[in-house]
Amino acid sequence: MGPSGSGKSTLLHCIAGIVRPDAGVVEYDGCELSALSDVERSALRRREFGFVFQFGQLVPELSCRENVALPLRLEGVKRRVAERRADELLALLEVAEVAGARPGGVSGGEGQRVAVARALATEPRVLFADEPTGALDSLNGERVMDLLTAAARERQTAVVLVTHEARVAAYSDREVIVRDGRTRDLVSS
Amino acid sequence: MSRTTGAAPRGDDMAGDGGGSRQGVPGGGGSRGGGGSRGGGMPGGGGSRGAGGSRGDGMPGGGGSRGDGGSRGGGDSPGGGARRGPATARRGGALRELALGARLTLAGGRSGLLRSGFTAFGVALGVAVLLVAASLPTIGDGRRARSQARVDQAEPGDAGAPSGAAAGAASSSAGDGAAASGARATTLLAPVDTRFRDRDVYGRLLQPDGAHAPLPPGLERMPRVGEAFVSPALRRLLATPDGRRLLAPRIPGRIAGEIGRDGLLGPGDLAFYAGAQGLAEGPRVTRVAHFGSDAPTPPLHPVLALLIVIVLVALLLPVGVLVAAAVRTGGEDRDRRLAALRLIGADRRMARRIAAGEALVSAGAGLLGGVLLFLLARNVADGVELWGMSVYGADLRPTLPLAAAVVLGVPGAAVLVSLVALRRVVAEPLGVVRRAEPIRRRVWWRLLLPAAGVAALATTDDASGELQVAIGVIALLLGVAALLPWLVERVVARFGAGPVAWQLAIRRLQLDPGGAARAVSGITVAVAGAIALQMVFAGVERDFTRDTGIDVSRAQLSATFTTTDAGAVDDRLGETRGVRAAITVAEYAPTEAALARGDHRTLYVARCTTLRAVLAIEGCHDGDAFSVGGAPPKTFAGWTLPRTRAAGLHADSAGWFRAGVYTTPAAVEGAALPAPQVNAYLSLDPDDADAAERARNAAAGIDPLATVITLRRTRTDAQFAQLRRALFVGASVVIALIGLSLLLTALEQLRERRRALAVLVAFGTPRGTLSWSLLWQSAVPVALGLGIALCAGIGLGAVLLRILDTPVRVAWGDAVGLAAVGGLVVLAVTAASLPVLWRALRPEGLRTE
Repeated sequence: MGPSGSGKSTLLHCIAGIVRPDAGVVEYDGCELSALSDVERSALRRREFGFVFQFGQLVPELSCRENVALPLRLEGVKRRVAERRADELLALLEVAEVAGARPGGVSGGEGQRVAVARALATEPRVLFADEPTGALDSLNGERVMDLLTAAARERQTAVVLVTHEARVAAYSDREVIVRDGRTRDLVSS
Repeated sequence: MSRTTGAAPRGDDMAGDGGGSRQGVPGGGGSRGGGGSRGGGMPGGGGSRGAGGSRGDGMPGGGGSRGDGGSRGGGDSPGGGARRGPATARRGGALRELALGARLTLAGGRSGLLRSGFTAFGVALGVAVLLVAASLPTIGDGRRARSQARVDQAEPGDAGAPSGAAAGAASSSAGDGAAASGARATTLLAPVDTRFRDRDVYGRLLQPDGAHAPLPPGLERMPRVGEAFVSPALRRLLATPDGRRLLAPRIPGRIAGEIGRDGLLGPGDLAFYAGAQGLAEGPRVTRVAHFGSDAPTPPLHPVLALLIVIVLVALLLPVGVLVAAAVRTGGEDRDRRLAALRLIGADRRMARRIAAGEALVSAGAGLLGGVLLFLLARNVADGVELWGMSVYGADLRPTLPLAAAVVLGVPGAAVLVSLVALRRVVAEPLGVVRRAEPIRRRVWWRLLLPAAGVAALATTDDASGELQVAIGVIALLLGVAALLPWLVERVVARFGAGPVAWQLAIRRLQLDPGGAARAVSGITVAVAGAIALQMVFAGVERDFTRDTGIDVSRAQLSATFTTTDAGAVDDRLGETRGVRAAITVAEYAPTEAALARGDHRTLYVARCTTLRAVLAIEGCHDGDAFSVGGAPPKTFAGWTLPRTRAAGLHADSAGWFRAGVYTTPAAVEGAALPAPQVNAYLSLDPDDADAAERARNAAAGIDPLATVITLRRTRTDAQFAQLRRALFVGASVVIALIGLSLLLTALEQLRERRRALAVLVAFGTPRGTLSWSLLWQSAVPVALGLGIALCAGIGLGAVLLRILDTPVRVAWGDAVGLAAVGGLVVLAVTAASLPVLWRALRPEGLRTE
């Protein structure tokens, strides 16, 4: 957690292996991410991680169902199987009715829930969420967080979440404060 | 309408019909929201109040505009503008909105400038080509004028001087000629044109006769004996190893200077003037009183005139389509920005004007860039040669009306296109733009264009002429561009999801079939036009091609000499490397008296080896004589013929040999015959690429005035051949332009989608999947576009051939080949954009937002 521009997203991207840190080491499961090739890091992100961003994360040309099924299909799962799994996840996140719609035709809250469903599709061990409620009103934001945390707990998926909102941070078991590019505080709840 | 979640009223839909932004009636009280009646305190401008009492709130940067349909009467604008009438206010507001659009373009940061740069560059390419096209009349005039200027005009009365002044006696008669001419101040001129490889070389031998002998254009002085003035292109060619070895032996004298551009058709023209002595008037030598002809250019064949119109339309229409596509580049960014403006109060009209302002700036920059590109092209034109054609940069001068049409038409069209593109933009909260739910494209009006085109073409007659044909071709080809989005939409709608790459591509095409169709519409129109032109050219080629009847398997070169010693010619040619066989004959034309009697029999003198090749004879010895075509005359030009044997001619489709008397050299020894013309027919080694050049050199070595002709089975009309070459040049330029424009469009699309691509990569989508997706995204619309181009091109070609009363024949190989070229261009462009895609695939792209 931290104010805008404090470096939260950069830290998240470093931890998730999206960008290489200028200094320091990110290790996952005994493996240093910076040492992995682009292909290896892509595979890692595909298999082990899930991502939810603030906006613009769904592929606009695919339907919501196809968006959720996409990570599974990239792993070689057959389309029918992947889309059946996507429907289950969309139902779990209470957006089954938008399965056939394109992202451009759904509300912000629905879109975020679709994104959470997609992030969970491969049953990742870690889910990275960058301001997942940043573009939502408080009611929708709470609903998304409820569903996200519930689904993650059910699957024992660790969630690394970046936010500047205290009420969103309150969902976490452990809180890291980032300010001016440095972690300043560590709080365990 | 799309499903919306924000609080934006439906009336914000720019495409909506019954929305809240009703147009105000100037002067009418309480008008709601019309951009026209608002005092419009736009940035930088003081607001004024309309008579209807509209309120002049400012736009962003100058205060927030209230353009939501709720304009109120009364109230000064924040800027405190003076009161003005409604019309003035409307004009002022429109101008301010245009200015705001311009400012948004320039102040849009790196991204905005890049997007505008893409558009401007696309427009610039189009403008440059259009300006070149606008220069075609001056290019033609310049070329024609220089061609006319070097025409040698024989002195009156001297044309067709008696053939008795034979070149063989040149040296002896030279003095006589000079004496006869006295102070006439003429120039004796002998054409010595030649060919090098597949290029013509214009050559003239000059011998001044008098102190003020006329000088050909481009020469500062007359070349002296042993000197040659050459064109710059010929000088360069002669400096190459090939030129030195195989062409230089034919150019008499050392190079003393260059021919100026006044004496050349173009910068690639190969020409020389060489000084000579001993020339005497005769069949090959003319006495020239002056250079330059003011004879009117023969009128163009009506079919060729029509072909020119079709070529111009078919080549320039894709350029127009490309300019339109360039203007729509970066639409998503622009829509987002306009949506934001609408949300803070800009009404539909204002948004349109702002968009128009943006388009105007990009198009203006493109226009400027196009003019600069054109000027650059002028500078480098002298060094460029395409399909053997070259033009002087100085000739690239657009005619005033055409230049004005380009300068005014391109920005105007850019504004129009950008306004049309705004039809279905929906504004929503948070500055997000959504397209209105895609309206199913209707086909009926798209079919109207080609139908109108066919109707215009089908009713063309001599009276309606070229204009109607041009209109018909334009309508038909524009119909292709109009039909393509509908076709792409219908076809891709039927495609299901396959592998991930295919699914991503197809879903993208289903989401925006119009964009995909636009990207390939230029190449589609170009290919359709090219197929039609190819059909027309192939169809009418027969009318412009003459069958020479020459059996080129027997001989590939023919040479005519002014020398009389056929034996020496035969020996020299026979020992030339690459010459397999030479048939050399001294030909004595029938005398005037014989011709008057109706006796056209010719006397041929050749060695037995030659006679055996020409005549069907069993035996031949030196001293023998043969007659072909009936009983021989007793005498020929006063010479009493020896006894002859009847013989027949071998098959001679070219008609080189006719009825007459054929003798061996010993048979005419001592006979007082007039000077013959020595002809040689050469069979060359097909495996020796330099054989023809060596043979030409040998011929020039035997007789500097020798004429060597490449024998062809067919001979094509020069104007027709030139037009076809011009078509190839134009098509090459247009295809290069289309490729470049496609590349720009592809790069701009990648730039716009970099966030979506970065997200895909973030969750592990392999690079290969996205690359294949990009390829499919190009390949599917290209395949559809080329399919429709094939049908439309063949249809157009068939209609045009009917107009020309020519049987309709489809050269499927050519048509499919042209379509394949179009497909290859697109695939090459896609491949070229892959590195940029891979750069865009870095997950770091997530951080740019």
